[in-house]
Amino acid sequence: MRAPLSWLEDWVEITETPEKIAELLLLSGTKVETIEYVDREAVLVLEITSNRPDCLSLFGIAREIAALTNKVLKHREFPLPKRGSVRKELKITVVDPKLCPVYTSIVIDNVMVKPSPDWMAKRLASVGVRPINNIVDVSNYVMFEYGIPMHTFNYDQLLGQEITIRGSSEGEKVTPLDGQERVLHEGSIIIEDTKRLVDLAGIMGGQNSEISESTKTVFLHLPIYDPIAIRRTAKYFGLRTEAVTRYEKKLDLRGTQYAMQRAVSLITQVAGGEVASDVYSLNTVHFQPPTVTLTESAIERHIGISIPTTKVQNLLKPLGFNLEFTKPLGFSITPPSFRRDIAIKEDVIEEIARMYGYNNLPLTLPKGDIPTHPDAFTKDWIREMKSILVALGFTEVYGSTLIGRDDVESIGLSKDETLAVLHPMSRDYEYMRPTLLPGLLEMVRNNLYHTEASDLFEIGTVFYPQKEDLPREEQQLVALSTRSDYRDFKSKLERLLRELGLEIAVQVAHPPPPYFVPTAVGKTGKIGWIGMINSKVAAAFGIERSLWAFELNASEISQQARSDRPYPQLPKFPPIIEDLSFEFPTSTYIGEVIAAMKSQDPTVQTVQLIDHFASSYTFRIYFIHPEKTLTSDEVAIVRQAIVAVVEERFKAKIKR
Amino acid sequence: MNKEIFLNKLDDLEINVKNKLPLIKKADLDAFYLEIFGTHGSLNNLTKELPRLGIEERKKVGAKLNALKVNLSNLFKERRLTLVKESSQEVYIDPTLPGKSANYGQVHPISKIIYEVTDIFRYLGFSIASGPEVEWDEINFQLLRLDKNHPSRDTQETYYFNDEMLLRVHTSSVQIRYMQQHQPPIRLISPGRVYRRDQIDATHLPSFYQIEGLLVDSSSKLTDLLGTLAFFVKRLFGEERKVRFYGHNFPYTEPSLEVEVQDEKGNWLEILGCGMVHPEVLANCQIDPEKYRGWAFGMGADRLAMLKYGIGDIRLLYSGDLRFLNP
Repeated sequence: MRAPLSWLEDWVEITETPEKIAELLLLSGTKVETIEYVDREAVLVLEITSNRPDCLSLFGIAREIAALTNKVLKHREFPLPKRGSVRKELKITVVDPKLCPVYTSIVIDNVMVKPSPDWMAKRLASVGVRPINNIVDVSNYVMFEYGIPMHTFNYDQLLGQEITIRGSSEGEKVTPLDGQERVLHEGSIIIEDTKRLVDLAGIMGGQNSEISESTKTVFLHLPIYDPIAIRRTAKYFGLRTEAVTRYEKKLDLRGTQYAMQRAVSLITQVAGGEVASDVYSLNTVHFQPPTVTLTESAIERHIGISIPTTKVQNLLKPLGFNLEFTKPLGFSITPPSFRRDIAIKEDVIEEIARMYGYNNLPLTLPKGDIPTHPDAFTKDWIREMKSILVALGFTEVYGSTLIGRDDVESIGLSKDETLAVLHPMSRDYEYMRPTLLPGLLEMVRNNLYHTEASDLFEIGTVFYPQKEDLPREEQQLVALSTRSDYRDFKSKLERLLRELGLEIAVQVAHPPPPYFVPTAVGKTGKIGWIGMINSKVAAAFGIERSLWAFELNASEISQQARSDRPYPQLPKFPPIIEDLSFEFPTSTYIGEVIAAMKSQDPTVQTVQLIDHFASSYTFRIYFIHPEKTLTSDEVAIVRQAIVAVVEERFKAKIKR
Repeated sequence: MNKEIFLNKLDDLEINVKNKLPLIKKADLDAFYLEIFGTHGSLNNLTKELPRLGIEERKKVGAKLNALKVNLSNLFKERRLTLVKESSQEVYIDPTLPGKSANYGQVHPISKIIYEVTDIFRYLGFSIASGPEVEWDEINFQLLRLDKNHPSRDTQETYYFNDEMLLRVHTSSVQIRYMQQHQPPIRLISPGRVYRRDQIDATHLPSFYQIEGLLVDSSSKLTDLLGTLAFFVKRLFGEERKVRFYGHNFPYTEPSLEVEVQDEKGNWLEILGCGMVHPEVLANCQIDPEKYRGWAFGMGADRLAMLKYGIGDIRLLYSGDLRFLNP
């Protein structure tokens, strides 16, 4: 909404600078986006929120300025001239009052249609309206002045001197002023004379009944339409006019009479003519503004400071509110008819606070009770996981939760197992990701253009569709590394889990997810997988290196993680340390070998794999007893048990 | 061998060591130590001669021999220490050499800003909650007074899966869920990913992060909202930062405001929308608006991160580019 300051001065004296006016308006809730200068005159460019259609009028903005600067708001009177000697009537039928609850109209005869005077054309241009002719321009001019849209018809083109306002049926056609025929759907508001459609009501006038230079008699009407119907139709045709911007909001149901009188006065001023009919008025709603009761203490409870009723009155009266004192400290407030956004006491409190000035209020901190719901105290394990991964050298990335069909198929999943969004932005953003992997693989590929090593992780939401319900959402953790050693990579997973208080061994399990190499992957208990990414999958993402990854269910980890990991007791007695080497057949699982060794006796405290070459593995075994120093005989017995179980169960041969 | 000769030998040995030690270099110290303390060293040789003395003499001389052993041992220790100190004085490095790259990862800037923001509110007794990203229309819109005909309810703005299921456009849905399950007092922060149809450019992406907050109790008021947000802005951006409030309009708050912070050049930057929770919204969650009042606020985490960490293009945040994330 553009508001030239010079035009605003028709109603309020402005002595402040444009910048100051803009600031006052902004802080009280009418946002000034910018100040433009047209012919060295300041024009405020405003963003009006949908609850304030009264500010889609210059008078409305002038009212705000008058209230904010403590000036008088000039109210102009436009008495209606008496009807002239010529009488021209029109029969008007409103079929559905729900579509058009309020209606005002009049006929003006003997007008001279020509270009508008300069002053009017300039003013229209300054608010962004192209001047057309004096009659049409008046309807736009008054709409900008007072916020009520109106339309002017060539009376002689309203065939049969009769119009009907009704809802459209599917398939009806109308050609508005832009010359493009529109095929209507059901529920648009249209106006027809006895023969044809003459107006796409509230949106754009009909071409057949428009005002031209030959027009002699003008039919002027000011309807108020159902906002929902107007919005639907405007959206359907993609037609967003100034009239639509107003009609789709809650307009002043008592405002049409005054606007009509203003329009008649201006028409007779710039085009001549005489009133040729009585005023036709229809009102099926008899709008009554609601009355809100408030007390000083209620205001103080809501806002936080005490504002005396006299001050409240001074703040609200300039905005058109009516106050009546009901008790010593209470009052009932009736908003003006153009403020249909005011319904409950909180709406009035907002008016009081914004006019008082939000920046004039003191700043306090909450003094209420601190909540103690048990679920308020859960530890943020995800945050903990991020810290640990960072310490292990991984960098956190954020990927897109929407992925493309190609991504889904490249990792070996089916799009039927994923949730698809309607009207996606593009094919690349169509499915809710069931795994973090595709986005991460792309990032690895992009990073490999610049760096040798890529150690990334993401902890984010993945989505599993469910029938007739919201998808199941899980937090998934995936870490990827381009470094080459598996045991190095695995040590990071082991450290991560240990720091979270979890002891989970990696085991062999089938079937693994399709994006892992089936012979190079292990399962981490019930919470995930670790292994090498399938090279076909990597290649589909343009990666030729081998990639290690672990994929974990972070939601599940958060459930199981613990922070009370005990610190170890130091051994009182020195350990006996022995190295044993074995030759194993291929496809022996060394993890199982180590587990078997440890289970032979409680004194086998630690077994480390210290060397491995081809099929030969060397283990370092630490024998510790908590109560004494072990003798070499005692150790020998356990060692023999270890050698026996390894040789028998795993078909290994000890190397001496 | 008699006591006198023995004692003289002890004295000679002591003098010998005392004279030689200060001149011994690091490389020769071990050899000299063996000369004195070794199996065939001076002290051991003298010890072997002890039996040639009489029992009475042996006792006295033996005591002196032991005392000498301790004394000489200490002297060797001191010399060793001195040599170590001196030798480290001789090590040369160029202290200005650049260090190598330490192996350290990095938390993402959006995680960082979320933690900074949530830590400030934790101080004020707020807890953190999360909720589903795919949400019901009812929870995301209708219970917040955004009915299907509201001007801001366009399918041009929202991603839908079907008539009832959509990608949430704000994390207010988490607040609705929380209010449905808890009675006041409530202090809640809900960070999370949200989705809006938007043209992609340097400051807009179809999905981004928000951080919203909610407080509901029996004594809250507008000045608490203003004060808390002013407190928050100062903690996040600095004590000297100026803050201002201006009126706005949201269907779920009344009054509604926006909050701006002033940058170094004096420009006002909008960072938060907020307001007192509309009584209908409270009632929709079975919280009695006559007993309780609340306020809520929301901010864009990406925008905040860009402001605080000097990031010029929002797309960098989702690029995974290590040159940006872990320079």
